[in-house]
Parts: sequence; structure tokens; C-alpha cells
Amino acid sequence: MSEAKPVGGKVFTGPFLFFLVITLIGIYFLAKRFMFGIGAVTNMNDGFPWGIWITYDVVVGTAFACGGYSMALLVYVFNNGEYHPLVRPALLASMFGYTLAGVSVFIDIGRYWQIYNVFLPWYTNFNSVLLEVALCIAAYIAVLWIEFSPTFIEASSGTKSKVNKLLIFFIALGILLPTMHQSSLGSVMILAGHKLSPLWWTPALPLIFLISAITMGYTVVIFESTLSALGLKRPFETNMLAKLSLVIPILLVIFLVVRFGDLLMRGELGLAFSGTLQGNMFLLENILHIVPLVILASASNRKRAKMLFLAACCLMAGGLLFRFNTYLVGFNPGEGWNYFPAIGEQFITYTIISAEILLYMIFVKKLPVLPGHEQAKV
Amino acid sequence: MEPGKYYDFPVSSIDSGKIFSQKAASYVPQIYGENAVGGTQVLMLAGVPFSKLGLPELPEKSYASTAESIQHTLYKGMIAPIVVLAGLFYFVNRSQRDKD
Repeated sequence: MSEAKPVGGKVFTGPFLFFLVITLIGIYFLAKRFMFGIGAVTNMNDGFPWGIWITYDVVVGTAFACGGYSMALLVYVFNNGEYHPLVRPALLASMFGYTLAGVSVFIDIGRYWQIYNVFLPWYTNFNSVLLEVALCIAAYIAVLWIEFSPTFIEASSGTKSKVNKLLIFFIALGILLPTMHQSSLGSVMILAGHKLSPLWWTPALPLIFLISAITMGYTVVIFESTLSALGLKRPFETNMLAKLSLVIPILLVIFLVVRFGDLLMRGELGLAFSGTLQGNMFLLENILHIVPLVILASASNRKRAKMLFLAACCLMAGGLLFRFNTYLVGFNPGEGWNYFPAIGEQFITYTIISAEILLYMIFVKKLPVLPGHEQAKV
Repeated sequence: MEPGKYYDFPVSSIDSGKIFSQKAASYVPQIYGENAVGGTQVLMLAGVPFSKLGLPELPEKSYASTAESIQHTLYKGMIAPIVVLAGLFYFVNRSQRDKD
């Protein structure tokens, strides 16, 4: 197995500058938000008290950041050490994804200076789903930085650090925490009740969210690995990805059986063909789950980098749509309420995404994250 | 009250002694909001079906209690999470031993 090595090379490249510019535009809107309040930059209202900052940055963002969680599950729990080279880059993306989701919550909360109250035990409301999500995500951000810390140690000392018992505890905790809060992100929308279309409202929502999150984890690993190979001009890790991608169709079948089984049991599937926006979005969401299932069911497709990447893109769009549908499209707070994200609001989200890409670029170039390749030495 | 029959209604306050006799209008024999989603603080009577007034049909069980019972089943005394954590620790430890 090849050891992880810094990629090296120049940090200030074309794509780097592009994302830097977007980040700077977003910082302008962020300044506006903190000076004049949430109303100055967003279209959120009393009917839609959450917008894309929660739906994309937190709900979709943490699902896309499940790479570290899914890989840890595969490598440490199911004991497939061969995938170990994929763990560290996945962990890095998870670390940024979750950290920036935490930052987004801070931006989204109206009275952000009160946020410390969430962590005061004497104010704890054990009946609150949202509190569970908040504490779990906060704890997981800390766990991710600890899990990633050996990389910093290796970079500064130049030697490979040994995994000790304490780190094993944190790896275990790093599997438990996402299981808890990714399912709770589904429980949160159970509270929406009749305001959420029956196409998405179900007591099985926590289970569906959890299966989807684990699936997203593997999908994102394929997506990132392909993009790093292209962007950093490294060889594709197609052999390893081909084997890994077998997990996805299995998870997708479980996902679709639970999803459609639940709809059939509740007798709400007819709504999908009602021709409304919600019905059509439901169909699109599921097409984006079924197409990658068909692609990845074939062994020859799994060995082709292009097909793998195509399936990963489809599935990420499907996972994204599933979450947008549950949190925004399927949500109807009553007559007269509308929501579409304002430009400033959108740019803050683009900034979060850009910042993540920028940090990823800097980290893989400066720290031993990606597996070293013999070709790289030439 | 039977629709169409005359009833005495107190005016101003219940003990004012002033009475107003009026025909009872026809109404839907249901108090909207009494038991809906666990009982709400807004109660309504209407002469037409509530759905015609744009009011959603609500179950008696509150949605919050559905979410709460899921959470309380999973996290009762934090026993399940601790057991899972112990199991995960065992597996992670085993996989590391295998590697060495």
C-alpha cells in the first residue's frame, strides 16, 4: 500500500483564483448580513424560516460530507483495510464539509451571539430533535479534527504516527455521531407534519435519511477522487473505485425499497403522478436515484472512470434533490408564503462551497492526504 | 342545539340577566382545534365544512409527539448509543490489530 504524501505544486492556480473571487464576493454579502441582519440579504420569512443556508449548507452539505463516515464504516467496522488510502482524503472533505455546516448555522441563526446557550447543560431540552442535531454535529466537528490530527503530526515530524487506543475511541465515536444526527435530520421534518407533502412526510424519514447519507458518502468519495485525479493530474484510482462502487447499488436498492414500500403502505404514491411541481420533483428525484443504480449494476460500467463519474454526479444530484424536496419544495407553510433564495443569500452559499474547495486544494498540496503514486516521482 | 329552534342567549355577560332569543343557525357539529394535533389554543365553530375555510385536516396525535417517541425510543437513557459505541470500539480495535 502506498503511503500518503503531499501533492506539492503551486497553490495559486487558475481554478484557485476563480474560487477565491467567489469567496470574496460572498464575504461582502456576509459583512452585509452581520451589519444589517438576515432580512437584508435573504428572502426568508415567517412561513419559510429556513432557506438554502440550512437546506444546502447544513442538510445537503453534511450528507456530502459523509465520505469520512461511510469509509470508516467500510474500513474499520467491515474490516476492509484495502480501502485505507481513500480514508484520509474522505476525512478531509468531511472535516471541511461539517466545519462549514457549523459556520452556516452560525450565519443562519438570528441572534448568533446567544449560540453558546445550546451548550449549557442546564438549558438542555432532551425532547428537542434540533438540539440533538446541534450537539451531535458540534461534537462530530471536533471528532473529525481529532481524527485528522495525525496528518498534521506526520507533516511536521515526517514520521508515520501510530494509531493509539484514544484515536480508536474517536474513530468509533466518529461512526456513532453521524448515525445519530443524519437520521435526526430526517426526524426534524417529521415535526413539519401536514405542511410537508405526504410524498416526503413519513415516520420512516429518519431511516431514509440515514440510508441516503451513507450512500452519499461513497458517492462523494468517487466524485472527489475523480476530480482530484483530473485537477491534480494524478492517475485515476479506478480499480479501487470499481470495487468500492459495488456498495452503492446495494444501498440504492435498500433505499428505494424502503422509500417506495413506505409510500405504498401509506397509499400516497398516486401524488407522484399528479402533475404538480411536487409530484414532478419527486419523479425527478427518483429518476436520479434509479439511473445510477442501472449504471452501477453493470460490472463493466463500474470499471470505467467515465461511467463511475456520471453515476456519482447523478446520485449526488438525486441526494441533493431529495433533501431540497424534503426541506423546501415539499414544504408548504400555508397560503401566501413564497420562498426563493435572494442573490446575496445564494452567494453566501457559493462562498461556503468555494471555501471548502480552496481549503481542500491547499491541504492536499501541503499535507500528506492523498496516496502517493510511483508515477508522481518521474 | 338544534338548528332552526329558538334559544335564549345571554347578552353582555353571562350573569347580566339580559337575554336575546334567536334561532340557532346550522353548524358543523365539531370544534376545530379541540383535539387536533394534540389540542390547540385556537377553537373554531363553523357553518360550513372546515376544509372550505382553508383549514387543513389534522390528526389527533401531534407531529411533535411522533418525533419525540422516535427520539425517546432510540435515546432512552443513552443506553442504545453507548452499546453501539462499545460495539464500534470493538470492531475498530479489531481492524487495527489485523493491520499490525
